[in-house]
Amino acid sequence: MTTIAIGTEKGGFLVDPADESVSDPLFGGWKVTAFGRSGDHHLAAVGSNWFGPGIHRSTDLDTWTAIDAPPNYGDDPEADGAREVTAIWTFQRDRDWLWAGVEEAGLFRSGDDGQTWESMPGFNDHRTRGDWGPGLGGLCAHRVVTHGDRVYVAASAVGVFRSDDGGATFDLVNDGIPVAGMPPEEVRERPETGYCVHRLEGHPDDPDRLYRQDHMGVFRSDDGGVTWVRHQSGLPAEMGFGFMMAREGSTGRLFTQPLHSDGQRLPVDGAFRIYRSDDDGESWAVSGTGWPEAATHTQVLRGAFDADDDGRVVAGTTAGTVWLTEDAGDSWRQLPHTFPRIGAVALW
Amino acid sequence: MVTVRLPAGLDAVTGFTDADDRVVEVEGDDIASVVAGVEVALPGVAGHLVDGRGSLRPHLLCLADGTATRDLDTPVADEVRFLTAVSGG
Repeated sequence: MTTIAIGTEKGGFLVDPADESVSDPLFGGWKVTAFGRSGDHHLAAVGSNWFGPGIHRSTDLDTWTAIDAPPNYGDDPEADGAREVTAIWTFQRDRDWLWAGVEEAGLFRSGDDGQTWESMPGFNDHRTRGDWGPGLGGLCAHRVVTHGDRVYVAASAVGVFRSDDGGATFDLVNDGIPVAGMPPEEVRERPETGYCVHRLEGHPDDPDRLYRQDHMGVFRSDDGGVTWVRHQSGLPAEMGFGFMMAREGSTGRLFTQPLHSDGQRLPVDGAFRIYRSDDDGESWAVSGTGWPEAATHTQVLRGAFDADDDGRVVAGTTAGTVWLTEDAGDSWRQLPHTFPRIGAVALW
Repeated sequence: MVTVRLPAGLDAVTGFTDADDRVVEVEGDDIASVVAGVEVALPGVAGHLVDGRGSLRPHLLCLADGTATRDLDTPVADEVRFLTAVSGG
């Protein structure tokens, strides 16, 4: 049985796509920013304007328990430049560790399924940190991709970082990505940071292959991020703008939602469509059937998209609707529910 | 002992379900020590009252013996009440 976890501005919900039943709201009134799994635990990162961030865990999707000590920089509160974790934006589980990317941008890992966390100074105290600046969505590490000792971290609006030593040290890897907001002819010297990555996906069998939905378009790297090449043929978006990217495991198909432009951030001509690439990003086209005929001006945020290895891809929208395919994007259906604005989804 | 009254919005963390539950008795003589006492009684809650920079979270109100304060050094004798400000969205 598959459960779709829906994270909204006002709580979490669990949907059974078979009978379309929906749970009561979880964490009522709290924003849900990320979902994850580690060991026997399901995880939900939550946040509140009143109470700040937190993490809840469950082994049965029924009873949820808040952990005592979410990721924390542990800086002296009185020190100049003391950092604070204001939101948890992603979880990534690999063979050894559960990773978390947070705002303000930081990387943490846990060896006990999220009960306790350690700060990763190779990223959190990176030599360029003083130059890091927020994008519209804040200064956040929103994606972690791992292959053994290879660790990639995507941070907005900083760029993609790569570690080859299990997260001890990191280098920036953004060559080929245009500088956001600057005409190429005006860029005399490429800055080290300031690259507005929106979403990063890896390849399960190739640690060097990466897919990137960037503020400046859709890119692929075949050399571990050393160089990036634009791959957005067939996407209608001006500049290739969009927020999300996912890879379905059984087919290797890639998915994204092109948006009109940085300025509009709406589907082109009101046509809400997920696009799909069957050839590793070489070309893109509308993914299958089922899309609305009526104008549908909503978008899918970077955390509100998930794919499994069994043909399922789910997209939650800022309008609170949920779209699902169970045949790797050949056909899509909209679930009948409406939720608050969706920022996170997961297929469990 | 100081009586601490917590807001309903923390139910997801505390597990409380109604107003009668949302009270803890802790040792302390100022807001900071009371918050530390809350953390002993209810692990994980203090971080939702005070942020990582050591300040009362900006959208929370704190009443020390009935008087509003944002200073964690404020003395308290009988009661501390945390309230959610009329803000959010």
